[in-house]
Amino acid sequence: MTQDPHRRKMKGEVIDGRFLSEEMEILPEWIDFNGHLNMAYYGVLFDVGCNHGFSTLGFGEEYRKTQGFTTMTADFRIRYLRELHLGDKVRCSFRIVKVGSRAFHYCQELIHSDGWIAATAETVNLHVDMKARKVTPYTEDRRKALESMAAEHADWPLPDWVGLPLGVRS
Amino acid sequence: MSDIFLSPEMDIKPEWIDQNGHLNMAYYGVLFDTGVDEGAKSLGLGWDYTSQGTHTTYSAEFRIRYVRELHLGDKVRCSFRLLDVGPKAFHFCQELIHSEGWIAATGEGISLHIDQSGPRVAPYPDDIKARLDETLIAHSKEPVPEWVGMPMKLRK
Repeated sequence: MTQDPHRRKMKGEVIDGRFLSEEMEILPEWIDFNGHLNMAYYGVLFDVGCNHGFSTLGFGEEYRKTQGFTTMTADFRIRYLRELHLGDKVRCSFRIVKVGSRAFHYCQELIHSDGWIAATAETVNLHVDMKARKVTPYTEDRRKALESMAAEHADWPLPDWVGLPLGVRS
Repeated sequence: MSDIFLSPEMDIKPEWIDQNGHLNMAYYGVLFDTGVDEGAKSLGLGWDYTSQGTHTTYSAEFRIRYVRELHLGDKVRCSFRLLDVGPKAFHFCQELIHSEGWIAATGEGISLHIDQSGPRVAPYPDDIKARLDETLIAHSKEPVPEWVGMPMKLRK
């Protein structure tokens, strides 16, 4: 039985203008018939690799239990840049793009231990009342935390792939 | 009868449920990826083709819009519709459809044709390209969903 990566608590650290997660490993059951990390499990790495962002913002388990609010994903997009294989180690960046009253937009990069970017992601995340299962405005504290982190990240360049539509290149 | 492909029914695994008590966002991706198999097979890009070891398909981009929560015990099917076909890639969209008929999520992706000796992106063989073009014509009878190609942003 493999340890559930989603339950992993992670600390983040800012290195060269990127807010990075701890290192994550590729599990053998995530490798597909192409012999590389299956496309769906990049999603798992991006989800686990946003933990340091969400816990720094105060959206952890305690917030859910004490306030009755949680966060849910509305929109999620991955661009696959390079293959990953068993044994590779990656860290995940977390950068806020924009903060709204009940949702925020963020982007991420999966960065291989050799320094290259394996994939990028962009996400819209909603603030949800757990009982009503309805999108609801942020509490004052969380709104302040989001705006403060957004102000810090605004000093870093916004990746040029954020907000692009999908399509076949001609 | 629509020409759009529909996968067999798929189950939600207990280990995919997260602390919100619903299907974790990352595992919608697993359902979309599993749900693409029927479409790939019909296009001649299924296991019969990829297991020959010379060519395969890779995903270049994939996007999920989460419409409704899914829970343990729910059963879903996955649709597959071609949107555009290039010489080495195609653009497609999918819907995860709950057994009660509602849409739980939408997917939109770009699939690349890969020469495994590189691996590098390579043109489709003529027979597969012809099948892709025919399928695109058949699928184009249905309206393109309004969410296709929309940039990601916060709603006002």
